Amino acid sequence: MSHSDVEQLTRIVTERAAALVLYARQWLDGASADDAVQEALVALLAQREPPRNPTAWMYRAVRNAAIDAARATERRRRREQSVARERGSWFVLEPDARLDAELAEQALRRLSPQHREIVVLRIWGDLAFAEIAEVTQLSISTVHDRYKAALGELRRVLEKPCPTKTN
Amino acid sequence: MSDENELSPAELELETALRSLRPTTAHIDVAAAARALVNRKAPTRLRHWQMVAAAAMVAAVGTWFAWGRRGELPDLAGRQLPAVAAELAVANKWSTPPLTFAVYRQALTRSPADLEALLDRQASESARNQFSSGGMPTVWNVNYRSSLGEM
Repeated sequence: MSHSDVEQLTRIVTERAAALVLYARQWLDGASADDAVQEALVALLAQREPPRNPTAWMYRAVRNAAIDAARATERRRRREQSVARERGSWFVLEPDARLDAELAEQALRRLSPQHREIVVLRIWGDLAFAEIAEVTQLSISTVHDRYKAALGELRRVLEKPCPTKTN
Repeated sequence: MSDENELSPAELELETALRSLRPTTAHIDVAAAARALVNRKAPTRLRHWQMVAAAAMVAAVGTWFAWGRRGELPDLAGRQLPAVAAELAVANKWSTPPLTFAVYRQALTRSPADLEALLDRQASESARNQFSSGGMPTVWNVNYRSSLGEM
């Protein structure tokens, strides 16, 4: 891999680092999610040739690293409990955002892992359905169906009037 | 992209609202990744060296055995190990035939009865050694020494 390839790949990853870490957080908590992305970056740079689609490749590598780390480090129940205790850490709290960050995170956490993964890849990973299908090893139609179902669930949760939210 | 065309306006609006959320900052250290990459590649180079060294050793051992099967190994040993060659020369100097001949020459100078008795003892000792230890009688065998002592 040439020097320019390494530079380009590093730029691609650093530009998408936050979304990649958010994706890793579907399986891991904060620091471990960063580690999974870091590990995937090292694996990407160690390739002899740049992948055809570096972005999809990175999401795939992060997915594998995060799942492996989640299996290896702690039992699923303990991890889910610790992740559930972590509040407001997925998104930056911004006053001009069209959605409340904490509510959005709670709504996302309510989704099944399969649905949530596809929403994260689609919204913050900015991947096409074909790329998501490649990452998750599912058919495009399955990805599309799950995405629409996930959006439906999110709408039901987020469109409920929130007694604590004041605009 | 044709992906968006299959979503309803409400779904597209929700997509836009979700996209307004910004994921929290990642803590990715590119320099550390580069260091890890270097550390990961170093053992690979080491393995290549080890493979080359192992291949060279296998080739050397193979050559050694090939020469040995063709009967060239003793010459090779003699050339490469002078100390062993010198020991072989000393051993050849004290090889079996001259000493055995000396025993028989001394026996022949004695009476026919003594010679016959010596031959009988050697024959019986040889047979016993063959069945007991499996080894052939040599000039260093104690029976030969006793025979020499008797004469």
